Formats: sequence, structure tokens, C-alpha cells
Amino acid sequence: MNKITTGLVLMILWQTSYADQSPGLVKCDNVQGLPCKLVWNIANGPHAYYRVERFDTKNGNWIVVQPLPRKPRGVTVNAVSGGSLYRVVGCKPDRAAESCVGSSVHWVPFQAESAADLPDSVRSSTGDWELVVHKDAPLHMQNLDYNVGLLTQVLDRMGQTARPPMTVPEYLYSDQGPTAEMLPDITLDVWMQNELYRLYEGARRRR
Amino acid sequence: MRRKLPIVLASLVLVTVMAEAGQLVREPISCLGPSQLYFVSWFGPWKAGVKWLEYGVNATSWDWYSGFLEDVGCISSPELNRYYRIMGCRGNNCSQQTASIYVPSWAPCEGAIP
Repeated sequence: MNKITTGLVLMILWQTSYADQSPGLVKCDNVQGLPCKLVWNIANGPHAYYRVERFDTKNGNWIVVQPLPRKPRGVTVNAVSGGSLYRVVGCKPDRAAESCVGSSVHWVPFQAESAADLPDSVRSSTGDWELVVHKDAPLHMQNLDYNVGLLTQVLDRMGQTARPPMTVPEYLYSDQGPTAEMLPDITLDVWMQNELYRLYEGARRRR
Repeated sequence: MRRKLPIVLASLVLVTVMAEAGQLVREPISCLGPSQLYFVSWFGPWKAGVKWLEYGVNATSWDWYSGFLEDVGCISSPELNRYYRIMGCRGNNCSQQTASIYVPSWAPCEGAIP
């Protein structure tokens, strides 16, 4: 078996072990960088209403960011802001919560252009934990630390039972990192999506 | 000025408390091709007599990783995709806890990827 085949098999195994059945998915239209317009695809439709929701760590709930046209799939007109977790929800006409189906979730990273824009640490709202942003590290590591902190706040507020699966990244590498064949496709955004996907799914499944 | 005095005093107390706390740090070992390797190190000063290292997949639930730590030390092959922190106790009083750090599964060297 050559390296490409091995890589593909590893990716399929990883995706099989991590992907849950979700009635739809949402992800960025541009997988290799920001800004991010969300692409959605919701099954079990058509529904009467579709909307983009963002998880609000202050109140611990999903809030509507953009109403969407009545289409089971599409791309948002506007880009969404980074440093947040998004999903798309489709609902029946009565808007009852039970009638709604949610997509998998997608983390849109926050990418600071300067380390001065990043704090020294991120804290939980309850003061239970504080996560370090290594200020002497290169900017991409500081950006990762900060996004880890923000996503940890989300996980903290969501609770264990209310965590939908995360959309599997387009270029998913194994625990050993990307193969030589994958490297040309690995941008800083792709890298961060991989790491945050592992963090989220690891916490969700309590690996 | 009188109004600002409590704030100044509170800041001094905070600085003193922070200065007494030990630290846990993720540090680079080397750059191999495009990959950056990391180890985890810690140093004092410590108020606590007994210190141990904990890790977890959540920042809120922790497992024991290593105990009876020296004041300064490191682990060269930490478990990846984990949060780490050091908990310090004197008798039954576990009052000292470092800020947590996160170790990713893979990290690129600076400038290795676009």
C-alpha cells in the first residue's frame, strides 16, 4: 500500500470513528482561510424556516444570527465573525422547538493579526479555570491558545449532553500530523480547524 | 486620590498573590521538518508542599498524571490534545492551582505553512 492510500485509509477510519449522524452540516465556504461565509445543507426538509445560530457563552444558549432563505442548502450572504461556534437550524411552520432540526456545528476561528490583540489568558465565567495564551510563542500558537480558550468556554457552558457533533474538517490529518502529501493543503486555518475539531470531539466523547 | 487607594492596594495584593503562584508552561523542543515538538515544564515559587500534575480532555474534569513533583521539572512526551494543570496541597488544604495549558496534537513550525 503506498503512502497516499495509507493516508486515505487513515482519514476514512478517523472520519468513521468521529462522524455522527446529523441531519445536516454547516461549514465555511472557503476552507483555507477567512472571511467565512457559511455553507449549509439540511436534510429531512423542506422546512418552513432556516436560520444561522451562534452559541452565546454569556447566556449559555443558541442565538439567531441570520435568518436564511427557505432553502435546505445554500451560502450565507454575509460572512460571520470569528471566535464562535455556529449551526444552522430548520424548523416547521409552528416554530416549536421539537420541530427543528439542527446541523452539525462549525467553529469559525478568530485570527488576530497581531499578538497585541490577544489576552494573556482566557477564564471561565465561573472562575473554575484559566487557560494560558503563551505570549512568547509565535503568533499562530497564540491564536490557537486563544481559540482553545474560547471553545473551552463554549464546551463549559454547553454541558455534556447538549453537544452536537462538529463538522469534520475538509482536510483531516491523523494524530501524527499531516502526511507529506497533505502538507500543500494545510494552511493555518486548516491546521486550527483540525486541532479544534480534536479538542471538541474529544471533550464531547470524553475520549 | 482617596477613592483610588483601595484599588491600588487591591492591585498590590493581587500582584503579590500572582507572584507566589507557580507556573506550568508549554515549551518548544525542536522543529523537525514542518513539525514543532513540545514539552511541558513547571517552576515555582510554590506555597504548597505536595504538588501533582493533572490532565484532562475537558478543562473541568481532571485525571491524575504524575505526583510528588519537584519544584522545577518537565515531561518530554505529554499526552496530546489534553489540558494540563498543577494542583498543590498542604495536608488536606489544596489551595494552589496553576492556570491550565493546552497541548495540541500537531503544531507547525513558524513559517512552515502558509
